[in-house]
Amino acid sequence: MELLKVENLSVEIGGQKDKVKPVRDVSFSLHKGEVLAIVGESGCGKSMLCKSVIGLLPKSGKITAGSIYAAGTDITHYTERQMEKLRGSFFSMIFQDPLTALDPTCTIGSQIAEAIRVHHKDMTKAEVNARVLDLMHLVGIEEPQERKNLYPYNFSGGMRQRSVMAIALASNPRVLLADEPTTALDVTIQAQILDLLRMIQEELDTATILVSHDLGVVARVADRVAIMYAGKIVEIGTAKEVFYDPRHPYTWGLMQSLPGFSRGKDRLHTIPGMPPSLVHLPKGDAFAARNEYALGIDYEQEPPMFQITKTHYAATWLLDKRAPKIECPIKRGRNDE
Amino acid sequence: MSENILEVSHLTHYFKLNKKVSIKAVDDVSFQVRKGEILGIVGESGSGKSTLARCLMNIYEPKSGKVLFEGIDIFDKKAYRENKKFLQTQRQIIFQDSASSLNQRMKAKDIIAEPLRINHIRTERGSAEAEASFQLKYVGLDDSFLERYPSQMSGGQRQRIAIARGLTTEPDLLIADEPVASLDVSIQAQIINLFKHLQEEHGFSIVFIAHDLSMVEFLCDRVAVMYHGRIVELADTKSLYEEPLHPYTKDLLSAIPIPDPILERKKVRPDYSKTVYDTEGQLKEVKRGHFVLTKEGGEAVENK
Repeated sequence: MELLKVENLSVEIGGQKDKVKPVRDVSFSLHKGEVLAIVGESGCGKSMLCKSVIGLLPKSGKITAGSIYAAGTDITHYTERQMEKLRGSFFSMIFQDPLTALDPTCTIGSQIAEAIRVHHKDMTKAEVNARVLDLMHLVGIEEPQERKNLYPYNFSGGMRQRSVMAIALASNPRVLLADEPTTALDVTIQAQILDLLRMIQEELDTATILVSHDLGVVARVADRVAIMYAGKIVEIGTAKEVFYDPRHPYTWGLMQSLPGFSRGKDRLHTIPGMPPSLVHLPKGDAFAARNEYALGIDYEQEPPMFQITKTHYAATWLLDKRAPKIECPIKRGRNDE
Repeated sequence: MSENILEVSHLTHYFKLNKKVSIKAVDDVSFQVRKGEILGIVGESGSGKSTLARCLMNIYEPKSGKVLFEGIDIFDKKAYRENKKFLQTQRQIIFQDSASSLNQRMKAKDIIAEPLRINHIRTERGSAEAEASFQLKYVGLDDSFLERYPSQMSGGQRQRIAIARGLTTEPDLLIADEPVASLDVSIQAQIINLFKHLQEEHGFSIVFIAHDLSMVEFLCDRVAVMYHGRIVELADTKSLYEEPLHPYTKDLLSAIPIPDPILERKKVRPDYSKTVYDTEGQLKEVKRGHFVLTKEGGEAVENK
């Protein structure tokens, strides 16, 4: 069943003069119990896509085209009051920096309890308390009875992120949006949080959208991967398809900039240049200027989504019938499976 | 003149929380940095990497220990006074967060030329602005950035400005405290390449502090692993990554995500939070150039 479906969504932010288009014509769907990863550089509109889905766009932002369906219902033009009912119960969000997401003046326990009480007004104090302990146990905080009376500053980065997850899970959301949940954390803690995300997702059968800029992070948890560039999804497919058979030159570039691919070489591979500003987008494919495989048509016309397999799509002219055949530059030994 | 540019011996720094409790941020750390070498220091947050960097820059006064920079004891007040200009120009530091380490109210050209002004160094290229423009080119930015403020630049560009500022006095030792931690993967690669290029060009030494082990593997000649204020393993990059000896290093290496879904999912990870590693003992040379923290007379340290 499609839990969440986004169709041709476009978002604009700003006034008359400088309109930023952080999301341009984005379509994807999210199935029950699935982890979809959205990967891209900072400023490519990943966070804005999440925010537009749960209706947290800034005041100057608005959805200009397309629609969002939550469990089959069109929620594109829901009012704030209607959205409030969905947030927490249908979807909730985990933010990047756990320290700013938590209130420094309240104990962890009371912050989790608050999230429960919003959706379950009839719960008694004892029931809420029991649920708080349950949630803390679920996200792997040990000795919840003592720890619930501690403040965020008593917690380490990993523990804070666990607390934020407990708050997000307070009323059993069906869709969890995690916006760079591990960027502020150490490698070892990051590994733990990712495993926890996967475990929770399997246990509660929630669907998850994981936003990240690191393909390495995504490999462990994602079922499907969407690569985003300048507000558009340029490649989407199952994790295996995107990792083992990437088609878009931007995906190639992202993979090659990981140090693992340059082992034994003198230089790391880089994508030349900077991502374009979303205010003045160039004509044609936004990636053309940084693309070493760019064709003439890339500067003229934006490529449509080409279908590769039933689940794998990429937007690059290289997939057109008339394009020259270019081998994927990533070579890897496939001694697995 | 010795081949080591920096010799650190038994450096210890405590932070006092109150009268009774103090935190050992850096605990009996000894290592050397050779000339023209990139030494990586890795460890989780709270392992004392940044405190160590700040001690090396005279920002903190350590409780005990000795640091010799080109043979000068930097914590000896008399020696410091006599060589102040030398010490301040030949060591430079680059901080993690370029947004807060660059003055928001200064233009790039002023930021880059400031070390020259402070140290009263005659510019080789005529004016401070010419000098700034030269350094900008070095780090891969064009002259249009001279007049910009830090807020008008992206994170990667700001970090380049910070590097350019560190290079104006042509230092022999550059200390980089997590210079790529706040950047995107693709921009990280650009900055790492820049470090490598600059090092080859100038031949200075770099102490590169990071928590990202894969970047360190690529850039550094030798790597020291820090845990709870102590160096638990110190070895050539190749030897450390191929044959980690200390259990903490092994766990740290296993936590690096691999961009390969099948391999990555097969990996069984230990529970990092529960393991406590022993920090007793002394660094002992197990193989040539490969040091591991070892207990008195015993084998390599085991998990508690």
